[in-house]
Amino acid sequence: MLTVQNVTKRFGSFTALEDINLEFGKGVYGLLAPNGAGKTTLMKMIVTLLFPTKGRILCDGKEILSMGESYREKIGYLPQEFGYYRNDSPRQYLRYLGALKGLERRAAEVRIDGLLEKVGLADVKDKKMKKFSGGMVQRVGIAQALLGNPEILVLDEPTAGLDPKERARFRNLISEFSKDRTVILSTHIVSDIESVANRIVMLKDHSVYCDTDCSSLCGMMGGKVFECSVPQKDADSFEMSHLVISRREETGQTHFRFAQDGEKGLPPQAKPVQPDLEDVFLYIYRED
Amino acid sequence: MRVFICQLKRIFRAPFFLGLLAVFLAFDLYLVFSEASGHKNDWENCRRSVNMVNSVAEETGTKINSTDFKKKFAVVLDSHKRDLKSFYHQKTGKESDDLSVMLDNLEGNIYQMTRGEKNRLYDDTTVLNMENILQNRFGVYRNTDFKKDGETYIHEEKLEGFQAEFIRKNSAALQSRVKEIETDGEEDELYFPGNMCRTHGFLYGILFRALVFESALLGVLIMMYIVNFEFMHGTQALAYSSRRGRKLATNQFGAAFISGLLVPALLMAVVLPAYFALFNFSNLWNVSVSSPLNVEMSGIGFFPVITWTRMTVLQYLWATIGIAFALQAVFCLLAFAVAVFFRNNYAGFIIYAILSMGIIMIPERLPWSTPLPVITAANPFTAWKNCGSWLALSEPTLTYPTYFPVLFLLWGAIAAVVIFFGVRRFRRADL
Ligand SMILES: Nc1ncnc2c1ncn2[C@@H]1O[C@H](COP(=O)(O)OP(=O)(O)OP(=O)(O)O)[C@@H](O)[C@H]1O
Ligand SMILES: [Mg+2]
Repeated sequence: MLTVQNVTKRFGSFTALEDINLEFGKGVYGLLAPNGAGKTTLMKMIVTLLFPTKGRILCDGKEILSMGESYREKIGYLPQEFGYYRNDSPRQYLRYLGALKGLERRAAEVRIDGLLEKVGLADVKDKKMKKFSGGMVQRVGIAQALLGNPEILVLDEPTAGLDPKERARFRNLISEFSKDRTVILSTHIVSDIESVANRIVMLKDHSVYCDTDCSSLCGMMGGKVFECSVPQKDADSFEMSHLVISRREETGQTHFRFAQDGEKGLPPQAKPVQPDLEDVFLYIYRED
Repeated sequence: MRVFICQLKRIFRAPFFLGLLAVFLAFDLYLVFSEASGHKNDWENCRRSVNMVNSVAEETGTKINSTDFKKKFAVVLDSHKRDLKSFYHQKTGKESDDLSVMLDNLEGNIYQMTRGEKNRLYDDTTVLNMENILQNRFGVYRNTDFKKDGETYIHEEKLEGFQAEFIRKNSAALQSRVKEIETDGEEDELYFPGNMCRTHGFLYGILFRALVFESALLGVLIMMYIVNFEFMHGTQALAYSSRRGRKLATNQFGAAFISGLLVPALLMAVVLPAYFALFNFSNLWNVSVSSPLNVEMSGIGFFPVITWTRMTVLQYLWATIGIAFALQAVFCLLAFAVAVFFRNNYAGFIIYAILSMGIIMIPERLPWSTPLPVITAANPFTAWKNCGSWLALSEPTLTYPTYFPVLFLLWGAIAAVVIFFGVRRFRRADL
């Protein structure tokens, strides 16, 4: 159990996160927020790369900074951006990181082969990483995060750069891995989260906006999302006066999906629809 | 331990490490071999002179003043005189008893001589020159009055207080050391005549200066390379969030420090045996380096070598090696301090270079009216520049018996403080 308690993080005079309170138990947590909201900042504090300006983070009731190695051995971390040693193969790279993670050499060797298999890099495991594509490097990063068999897995935009097939593979890997563990992953790609995350944490205005499960989040939007078609000549004025989530051109008509509080001014042809996570995201982070 | 070994492997596989090590070794060996084959001019060959003096010492012993030495040296001298005469006769068909006439005439012939003939001439002239040098050796010390020189310096620089006392005290100490050399027999010990052999000036003033510089450069590069390795490769987020965490820096420091000390060991292990294989010191290891014969009028200057206490040639060599390693340790510690503060090799290295040049230039720019020139001159960079005069008479700011203890205490403390704050900052730094 990981507890973030009244955590504030400032960079100089800029406040990135203000008074954050969160609890992470077992399960997959999706950290959903737009660019610059502080997802990376929060994750770096969880993996002890950044230090909170105020507040503290506890693991099973103990302050993580005082736990030192006994805390860090529990975590696996995929940074949003990370480098590698250009002349190393994934296997050498993982071996070194395994040593840093304090893994026993033989056990590490077996685990490295297994993980490279799982992320689909078994046939290039002895190739130099400088020849890898961005997605391949990202998959080595994912393997690296899982290497220490961590209780707490922190993934910062793990699907960035992955093609749809690899994304699906990743989702399966995470679902399989997340039993009895804490997985925290950040993304702004809504569809990634929808299928794997049990809980969704949203950050807004440097604070936690909500911390709930997917269905109640969507339920929050119940009765607020509508669809309707408007003649093309009226489309632009409709878009100006409504909170449009998506717009699709059809023959002579423009099809809108939009959100609205209450029924006031609702076009008569509008039909209420089942809200999804993307609606929620766009609604919450709309520009007022 | 495994992490530590990983770091060591990284260093030893780094192209810059292997490349520079090879270049430095090649350069040092080039220095040694060109000194050994070097004919400063066609009349001198310092390698033959060194080996000749050494073999004379085998016959005569090293106590110039003893009757035994005088007797045996006369025999050696006589045989070389006769050899020169017969050589002269052979080359010119003439007879002469006058040394300078013979040499003048042979000089014109030297380009037509075979190597063997030249060597014969070098050996003979070395021994004949020795006679002259041995007789005139007293001039060096007996004509110097350090006290008077000190007073002149004090007067010219208008020194008062601390500085005047400092100069006065040290020139008095030097003068009494010169008296000691006169009375305890060091003055009467055979050494390679400086002008003929250039052993001290080459070995310490050139070779060790190169060795210390190369070691420092490589040591600093290794330290920065390894301490900032993760930052330069963008892997810091992975490395410092791993179980090892920021303690990784300890392993990196350890590996870099040990390899840093290994560098001078490797260089010396190749270069010094090469030097001593070509220049045979075997019979002169136990004479005093402060022998008045150890004066060179060229190269590193006109200084005689006056060490603060009696030191044999061998002791001086070991002391120099020891100081070279201690300096290397300081250079590496400072590099670590710079590396943890800047976390960027390019910036770090440039700052280190500017710092070291600045520190060399500071002391002579500071006013003598304060103790600052003396204090600031006790730094590893100036000590490097002063290579060849270690533990001995040198520039006024460096000439006091406790120079090296002061230097190592001061710079050990500076390095410790900077590292302490650097590490403390790093432990709590946002990465
Ligand atoms: N080291 C730093 N110094 C100053 N400001 C920083 C630093 N790191 C992050 N910030 C600021 O903090 C805010 C949050 O950044 P963060 O990287 O956590 O956002 P994010 O949610 O991960 O964004 P993205 O989706 O683009 O990855 C940003 O406004 C950023 O400019
Ligand atoms: Mg981010």
